[in-house]
This record gives sequence, structure tokens and C-alpha cells, in this order.
Amino acid sequence: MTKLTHELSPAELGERLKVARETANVTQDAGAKAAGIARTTLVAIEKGQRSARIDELQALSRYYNVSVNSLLRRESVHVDLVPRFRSLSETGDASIEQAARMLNDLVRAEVELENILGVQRTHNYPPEKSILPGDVRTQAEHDAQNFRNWLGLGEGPVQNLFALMELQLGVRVYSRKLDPKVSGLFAYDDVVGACILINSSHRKDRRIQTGGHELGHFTATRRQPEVYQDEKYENSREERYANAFGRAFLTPARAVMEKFKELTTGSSHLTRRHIILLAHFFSVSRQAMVMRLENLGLTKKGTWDWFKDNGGITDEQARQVLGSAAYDTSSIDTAQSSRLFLLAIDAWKKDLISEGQMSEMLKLGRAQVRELLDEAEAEEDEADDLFKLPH
Amino acid sequence: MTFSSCLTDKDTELVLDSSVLINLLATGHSTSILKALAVPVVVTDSVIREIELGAANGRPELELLKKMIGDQVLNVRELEGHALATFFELVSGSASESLGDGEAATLSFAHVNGCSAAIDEKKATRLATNLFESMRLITTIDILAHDTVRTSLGEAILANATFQALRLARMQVREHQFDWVARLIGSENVEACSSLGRFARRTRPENLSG
Repeated sequence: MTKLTHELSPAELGERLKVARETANVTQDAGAKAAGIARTTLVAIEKGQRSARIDELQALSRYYNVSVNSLLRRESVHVDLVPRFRSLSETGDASIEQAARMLNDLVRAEVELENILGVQRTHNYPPEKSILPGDVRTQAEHDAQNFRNWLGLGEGPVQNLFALMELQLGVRVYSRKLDPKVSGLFAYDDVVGACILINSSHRKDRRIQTGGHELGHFTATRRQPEVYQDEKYENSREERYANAFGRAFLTPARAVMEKFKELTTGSSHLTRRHIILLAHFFSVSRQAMVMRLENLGLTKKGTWDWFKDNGGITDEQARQVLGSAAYDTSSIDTAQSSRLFLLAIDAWKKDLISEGQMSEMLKLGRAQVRELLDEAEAEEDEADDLFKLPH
Repeated sequence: MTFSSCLTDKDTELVLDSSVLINLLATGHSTSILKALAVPVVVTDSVIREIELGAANGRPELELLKKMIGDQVLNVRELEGHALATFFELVSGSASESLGDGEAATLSFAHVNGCSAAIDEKKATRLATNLFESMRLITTIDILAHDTVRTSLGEAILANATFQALRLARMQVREHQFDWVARLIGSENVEACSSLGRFARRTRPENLSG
């Protein structure tokens, strides 16, 4: 075997081991015990004062639940978002910990793939705002409208919120199945930028609402990591701002008023059909739509409660109004984290990463990785056929 | 050109990589296939960990894997000494020249113990060919097409097992193996297998002999 190894310096490896340990929420005592060494020895390894032996590295990697390859790969980057989430109030919640780790790992994978492929992520962030004294809702309405103008969106509904975040703003957006109570996570790091993880098991309208809320955070409280649980009542100014921002961004006041007028002209009452059509037009949930109408004074306060007490507005009713083709409760949205997948496919095609490395980076099983690669290949073949000349 | 399995009497022991094990588990007949080989089959603990991490909890293939290990159809091995040192060589360095833990462990074990490695992964195959000249490398299809497996399972079960591995695990097939696979599963099933797409699009049914 004639492979030249490019060993990392003990200091670099020590730092990586420390980040991996902290991400896994393991104490130095427990880590040392798992590797069969004294705590002082682990401290020395993490400081780069002593090289880790092969068997120690293997034991530590298993205990921290990372691969040895991810610790030793030269381009590997170590992102430390997880400990920041731990400092939030929900400390100790396993499902939040898991979601934070997923976000951390996906960001890591994307940045490493950028390094491997030699590409740079460009981003185009709007200027940061700060929450001022006074009514946060008014500020959020105003900031959301400015943000829309800055993006050149005009007054219409947002066609694809996640594509806009990823492609126009350069925010890293991922979507994975998370614990039902977690809607999304937001984190910002000077090196990697803004990153958002959305719960893919939620319905599309709920995911869009989460996305809008996270945009609010991105605008005014960028430096604060955040776990958003839409069903948990939060009354902080930051949360109220983010909710109001998301609402104003997805359902701009003027556009809602115009659409409302257009749809209700000639009707004597507000009906479920109106709500269904409006919610569909703006891609938000029926509840969010009614709340917005209440908030803009287009319907009485308590309208949503009335609907709720009177059988709600069901999916079946929505299907009758919209037809099954226009009606979507699917929770599969492949358009999210598309850039990460594209980078991984590209690296695999160039033989820069193996199937095993790709599976570990993307946190997907083998069959899902192969599915991505098969799809990419089929598209490529199609393109070949397009440009093939008949002979 | 007739394809015949690369698996021969020279292969006295076989170590399986995740890329192969995942296909065998998908066949629904992994136990009978491996028993029919009549050679000891081993798997490294790194590969087991990869399969465990990749499969959601309670997936049937995980239960199956545990049963196969319990029944000693598969023997789990840990790397030691020289094999562990080789493993570290393979997982270090730049991403393009290193491998994932499972792939690296499979090749290190095969190299140090002089056994054959069953691996479908293309980058691992390329690196193994460059680094370990004498190592025998075989693929999942070589296992399925081996004489003892064919006679033991019978054509119908083998066809079904191969089809399941293609459909569920998207098993990779090399160009020279495609005709054999297409004949086995029937050309009407080729279209249903996305991993065969590139051959199917380039091969008109009338060109298939048999």
C-alpha cells in the first residue's frame, strides 16, 4: 500500500475532537472513560499536546457518534451550532438537541462540499434591523414591506418561499423530518452565514409559515439562534416580531385587502369558500388567513374561534373548492436543500466522494442516496438525448 | 459476450461492504444466498454501524441483519493491529482520496486477512485497484450469479431476489453484467428499475439475446 497520508496536526485534530465531544454533549470525564484514558490525557489530546492513538480515536469517534473519516478528512469543517442551541431555555430537550445536531451536520456537509469542489457560497442579505421600543407588530409590518421592496417582490403572493431564501438570499435552507412539536430552527454564524432547518413532516402551509417566521428572525435578531415551536405560546417581543413579520411578508396588507374585496364582492357573508380561496392564493394555512383578516379588520375578532367551534374548515371542504389537483397536503418538498444535494451529486460524479461518505454527509440512508444519484443520472441522459444529433 | 461470476474457488473468505450488504438485505433471501456460497462471510463492525445509522428504527432489514448475525450466517469482525493501521490510512487525507468508515474497514480487513472484498462502490473500487494490486474484488451481481447460488435458489427465486435488490436498494449493475440481469428479471421489469435506466435507455429489447 503506497498511499501518502496527509496527517492533520495534533492541534487541528484536538480541536476537531473537542467540537465533536461538545456537539455530542459529552463531558471530558465520560469521553476519557470511553477511550480508556485519563481525563488529563484527553485534555492534552484536545489541546494538541499529545497525539491521539488509533484505538483511542476509534473509541472516541464511536462514543461521539461521528465517523473517523469525518474527523480526519482534510476538508472537513467543524461547525459548532449545537452548543449555542443548548444555551437556550429549552435545554435538555432530546428532540431539540437532535434537530440542532441535524442542522449542524447538514451545514457542515454543505460547507465541506463547497471546499471539496472549490465553490464559494455567495449571499445577498438585507441589512439587519433592530427591534425598537414601541409596538413590535407595526415595526414588523413595516420591515416586511421594506424587505419585499428590497427583493423586488411587489405586492403579490410569494411563489416559492424556500427557493427565494436559498437562491436569492443565499440562506442555507434544509428540510428534514423532525419531532412534530419542532417547526424549525434558525442559526447564524459569521463563517457559514444564516441557516434554517424546517420540519418536513409538517404540512406545506405550516412549513411556509415557519419559513416566514424564521425570515423575521433573520431580519431583526440574526445573532440569536432560535427553535421555533408554532404551537407553543411565546410572548417575547422577538417572537411577536417574528410572527408579525412572517404574516406581513406572506400576506401583505394591501394585497390581502384587494384579494378580499375581489372575492367577497356580491357576497353577504364571509364563508369557508372565501377563506379556502384566499389561503390557497397566499399559500398559508386557513387559520393564518383568518387571523390575518381579523388583524386587518376585514372580519370580526373571534372569526377563527367561531369556525373552530363550528366544525372548522376541513381538508375535504378545501378539496371540494380547489379540486384535488390544486389541493396539496403533501409534506414532501424536494425543492428544499436542493443546493446541498446538487453539490453532493456533483462531488460524487467527479469521484471526489464515495457513496458511504455521501450517505454520512447528507444523513440519508443508502437507498435514498442512490435515489438521488439515479435521478441525477436520468436527467443527464435526457440531456444527452436532447443534444444528440441523428446520424 | 456471456457474463460469468467473478466469484471462483480462489475466494475462500468474503468480507461484505455496506454497498453490497444493503442489496442482499433487500433481496429478501439474504440468508439462503450467503449460505449457498459455502464460504465464510464476514462483515466489519463499521459496516454494521453504517447500516444501523442509515436504516430508520424498526426497519425489517435491521431485524434481518441481527438474525443473520445471531445465526452466524454473517460473522462480525473488529479491526485490529495492521488492519486498523490500514483503515486509518484509508480514512485520512483529502476527501477525494479517502473513504467512508465502512468502505475503508472492508478493504483493510480484506487486505490484511487475504480475503476477497465484495464492494459495489465505484470510488472504493478505484482506490482498491490502485492501492491493493492483489486484492480480489467482487460485486453483488457476482454473488447472485454464482453457480451455487443459482442452483440453490432456483431461477425463479433468484430472479425475484435480484429484482427486489434493484427495486428497493437500487443495486448498481456494471455494463458487462446488464444482459445477464435483464435476461434474469425479464426485459419487462428492466424499466421498473431506475438503476438500470442508463443501460435500458441505450439498449433496445431486440438487441438482447436469449
